Amino acid sequence: MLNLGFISFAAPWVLAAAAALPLVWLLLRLTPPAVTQIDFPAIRLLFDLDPTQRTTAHTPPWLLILRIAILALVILGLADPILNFRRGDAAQGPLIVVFDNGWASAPTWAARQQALQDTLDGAERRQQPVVLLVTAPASTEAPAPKLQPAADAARAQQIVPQPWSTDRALALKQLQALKLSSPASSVWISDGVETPGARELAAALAGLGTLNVIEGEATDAPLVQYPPERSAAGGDAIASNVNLKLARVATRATPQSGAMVRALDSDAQVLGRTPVTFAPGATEATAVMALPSELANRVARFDVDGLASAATTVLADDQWQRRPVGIASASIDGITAPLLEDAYYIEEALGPFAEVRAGSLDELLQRPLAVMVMAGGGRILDAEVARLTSWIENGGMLVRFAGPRLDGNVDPLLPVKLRGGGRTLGGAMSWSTPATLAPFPENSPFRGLTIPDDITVESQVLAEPSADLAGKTWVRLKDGTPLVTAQRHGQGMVVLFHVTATPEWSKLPLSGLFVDMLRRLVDISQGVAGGPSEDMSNAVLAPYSLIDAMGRLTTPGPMVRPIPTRDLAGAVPGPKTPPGLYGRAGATRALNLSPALGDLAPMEFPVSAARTSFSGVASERAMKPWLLTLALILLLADLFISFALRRLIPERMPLTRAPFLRGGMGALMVMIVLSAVAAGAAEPRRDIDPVVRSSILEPRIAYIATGSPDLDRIAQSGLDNLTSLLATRTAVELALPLRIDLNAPGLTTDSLTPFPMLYWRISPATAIPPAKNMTALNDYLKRGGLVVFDAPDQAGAVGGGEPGAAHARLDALLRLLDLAPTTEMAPDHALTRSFYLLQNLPGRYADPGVLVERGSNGNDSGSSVIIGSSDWASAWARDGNGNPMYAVVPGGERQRELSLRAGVNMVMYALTGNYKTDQVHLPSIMERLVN
Amino acid sequence: MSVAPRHEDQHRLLLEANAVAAGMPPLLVAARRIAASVTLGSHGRRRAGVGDSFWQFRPYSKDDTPQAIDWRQSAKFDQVYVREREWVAAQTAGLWCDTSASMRYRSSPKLPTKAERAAVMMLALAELLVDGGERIIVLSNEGRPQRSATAGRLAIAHLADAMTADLSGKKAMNNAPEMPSFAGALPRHSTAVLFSDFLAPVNVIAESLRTLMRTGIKGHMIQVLDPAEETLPFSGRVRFVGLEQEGATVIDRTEDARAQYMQKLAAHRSALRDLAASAGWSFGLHHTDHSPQFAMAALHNAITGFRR
Repeated sequence: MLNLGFISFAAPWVLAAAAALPLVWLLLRLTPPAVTQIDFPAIRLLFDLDPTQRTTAHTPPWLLILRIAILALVILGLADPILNFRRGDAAQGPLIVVFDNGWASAPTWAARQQALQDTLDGAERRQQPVVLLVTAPASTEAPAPKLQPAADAARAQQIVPQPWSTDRALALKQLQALKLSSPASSVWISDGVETPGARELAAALAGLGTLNVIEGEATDAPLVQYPPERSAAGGDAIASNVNLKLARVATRATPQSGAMVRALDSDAQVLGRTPVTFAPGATEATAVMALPSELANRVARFDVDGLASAATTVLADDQWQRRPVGIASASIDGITAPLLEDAYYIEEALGPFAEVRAGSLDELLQRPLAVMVMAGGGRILDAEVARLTSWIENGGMLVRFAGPRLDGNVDPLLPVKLRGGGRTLGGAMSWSTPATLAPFPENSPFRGLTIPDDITVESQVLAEPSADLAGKTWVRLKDGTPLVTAQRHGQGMVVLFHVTATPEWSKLPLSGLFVDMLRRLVDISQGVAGGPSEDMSNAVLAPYSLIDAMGRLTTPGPMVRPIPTRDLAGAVPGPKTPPGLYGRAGATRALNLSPALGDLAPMEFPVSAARTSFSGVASERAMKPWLLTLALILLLADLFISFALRRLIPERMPLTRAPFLRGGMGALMVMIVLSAVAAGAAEPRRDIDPVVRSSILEPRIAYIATGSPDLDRIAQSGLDNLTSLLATRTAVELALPLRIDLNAPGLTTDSLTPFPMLYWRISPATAIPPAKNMTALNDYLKRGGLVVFDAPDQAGAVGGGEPGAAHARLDALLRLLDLAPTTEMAPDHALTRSFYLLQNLPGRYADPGVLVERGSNGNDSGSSVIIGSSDWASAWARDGNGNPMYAVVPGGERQRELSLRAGVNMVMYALTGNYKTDQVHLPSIMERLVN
Repeated sequence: MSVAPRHEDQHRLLLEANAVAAGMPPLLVAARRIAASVTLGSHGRRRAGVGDSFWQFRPYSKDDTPQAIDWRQSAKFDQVYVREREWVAAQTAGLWCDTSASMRYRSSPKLPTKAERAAVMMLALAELLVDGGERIIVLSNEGRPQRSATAGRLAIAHLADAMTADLSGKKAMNNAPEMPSFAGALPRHSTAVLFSDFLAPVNVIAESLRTLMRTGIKGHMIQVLDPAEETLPFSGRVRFVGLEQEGATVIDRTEDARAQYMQKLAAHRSALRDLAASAGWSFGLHHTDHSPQFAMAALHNAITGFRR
């Protein structure tokens, strides 16, 4: 190993070949270059040139330099130079690598992994055996580390950061179990946080040989966020304060740093943000985040923006949001009189939203409570006043209602001074009418709730006017007297409703506003931390979701054990009990990493240890592949150059020949476009009949198969004739008519929609299609299609049986469809003027009327059915020679012409709807009618 | 060889020749002595014959037809005179273009091959001659007349045909002589125009032109050279290979050989000029990178005998 400055050579003997370079130079210089061959007609003049005047050729100097450079690069590359080789590590003996992958390593994980990789690469290069000690193993049953070649060590361990503290004592034990003899150099990639056993481990490593410590910068010191606490925001009933506390690993020299703490809800929406600043040299910092209570109740976690780690993430469990409500009533157990009882309305209002407990005051106060409602308006006994006061000071909310016994200042737990006597409004003996509510004042937490019109207050207790009455009033009547007042006591508050909780004094408890108000009150109260709602203190909590070292929520693996509830408070997160949420949905408890961490102290290393930081460690870099690649590129360039010099590169490369290029590019473009079209068109196709699919682009009318081949033939030829007539006389160019079988099993609305008009010739023998297909037909009608029902039942009608039988069949079919009521076609219906001006729509038979949907003349989309019995198809049909198939009755050929016109009108009606009913056309129509 | 490309080539050749000949007056060969031909031309033969212009009056003899009597002249005198016209005949020009392998050389794809350029100039010349009413004999590469002398547009067509066939034909056979022998190709006292690069040794050229010079034919030599042959722009170590199997030679530093080569070329050319002058012929030089107009103008002057 040859070391020259910052480059070291792994195979220095190859450099001896560089001595041959001057020789090669000479050789290359003397060798004449390759000849270029040129055809020349005047060659005779080149024969017999005077040789004394001819000089010999030499390789051009720049080509010489290029070739020498290639050779030099090859020699250098083969000598395997390495940049930034760590000198002093060229030791014999094994290499011990201690890798800290606890919670503190997560923010700088990428740099740590790179440092580990570099270390292992270096060991592999020097062929040192390596033992890798990981101080936060994933499970305690991991196999003990042993000495192994560096390549195996790199592959064997899949190291990930873990969300718990490192266990250096365990690493020390494993080291001692290996019984290594010195000298053994060691590298410690450390996270800088002191834990028990760190000093001993450092001492042991220093004793075995040289110790290199690689650690992060001082500015990347790990941060810890402790679980915040809620407190009341002074003066504002709606907001609450969240007291944040952060700690960092710092010495006196650490400069000022800041962090942004965010509060997120369960959908990862940011609810609030607060910057926290560490003073220079400080290890702790606090801040206060002010949040409205409703938002504070929604918080699911607190974390630090930009520093994702398990120690900066604090999960808020259900206790953050739990608000048990206790209703204290004076009713004796056993007497229940619903609708008269005080607590009834409150229970009904709050029951669906909150956890409601009933009982006497004593019982309720034994367990943590967020809101206490005293439904019966009465005095609180002195003994209870003290207990309640302390409970309120600690953050409880007392909601009281008035009653006949709340007369004057009966006890100290009232928000305002009350005037004795109260008042009655709108009674039999008073002049006034019952009062209604005024809009909520600015400072009221009920702002935003809608006040129904029918809330009246007949009776209330009155408050003594005072200077701060306006500030304490949350709800007022129209004349300004307070209805609901509240006052803060310490961290909690007392709220007084000046009416009863029953409808005796007011209609408020009967209204929805009462429910909203009580919900608001519960929302702005503080949550309690206490036992779960069911008394499950002996229960065991299963892991619900865990956080990994980066602070992300993950599902728990199979190796995580459940925790008994009583152990949760003091549990230390580790491999068996990772931090996260335990319990089940709705009753989760959080096990956070930060409370278990204790004080953070920076780690101290022995003086003999060499300390570098990640950025300071320049990774070793082998130059060999780069140099050899460069030599190869230059060699190719040299080849190209020598070809060019000898004029071996053809003048016209086939690719630059324009027609070829155009052809090739054109083919390429076509292929690209085709593939794009194919990709775009590779959507799943619905299986529609291909002929039907083709009708989307080529419109055509269709007839519904009647089941009798004769009738089908008539319909086909009739519609053929109509189509060709349309093509000649109008602008409508349809394709050939199609036969549709309504009895087919695979029929969908999509199969019918492409057709503007469907013609259905109904005879007594027509089968009734299955319900699904009739539904499809119904959808077709609703989407704007037109169906022409033709059910001739005159005696002697084609395909007809008894008179009336076809009509009966038509009735049966129409009953299966959802049609608007039909009516006779009026003489000025759009059908009579949509192309030709007609009086009626004759077919083979002249007289029968035509039914259309009622109200379709003014309707935008027109009628969706035309029901007739004139037998149009027979009038239109022609046989093979072009002669009409059937005679028309009674009118003759003129009537046939009119029936064809009727057909044209029908198709135009199907295509244009009620266009012709617009008054714009009326003058021209009148003109034509007159003429 | 398929027909269509040949037609294309022919068409192209004609177009180019047209472009070159455009703007030049019709060519009338200056000749004191005209080759014997019966084609009506513009040269007076100083004897009686078929023509337009008056020659002499001759007394009537019984061999003459009475329609030939010029009554006006006869009325002036007592005798009956017959008017004779001058025999004006067309001059015959023989055109030869060298299409051997050495002429199919070009030094860069932007330039035409020497043979192409020579063919264009020859076609232009033919057009001008035909416009002037002269006759043309097209000589093949070996010096044989391809067909008898023709005049008119047909001659041009034949010439173009012959040229395209030659240009796209196979290369010359190995044992083809460098310069053809023109023995008996042209009638006496006609004109010959020869397009070639004349790179053969001067004695070989002199030998091949001897028959022409002896029969009193007035000749015009145009040497068509590529600019690369003139200046030898190559450099480095080059192996030159001859196109007509003359052999090959390797020059180590072509830049240094350039001066010598140009000297030899100049010497060769001056020998050619001497040869031409000795027979009263003209000699012209043309490089393919120049426009053919200049050479054509010089040739025009030489053929019409116009001297300032």
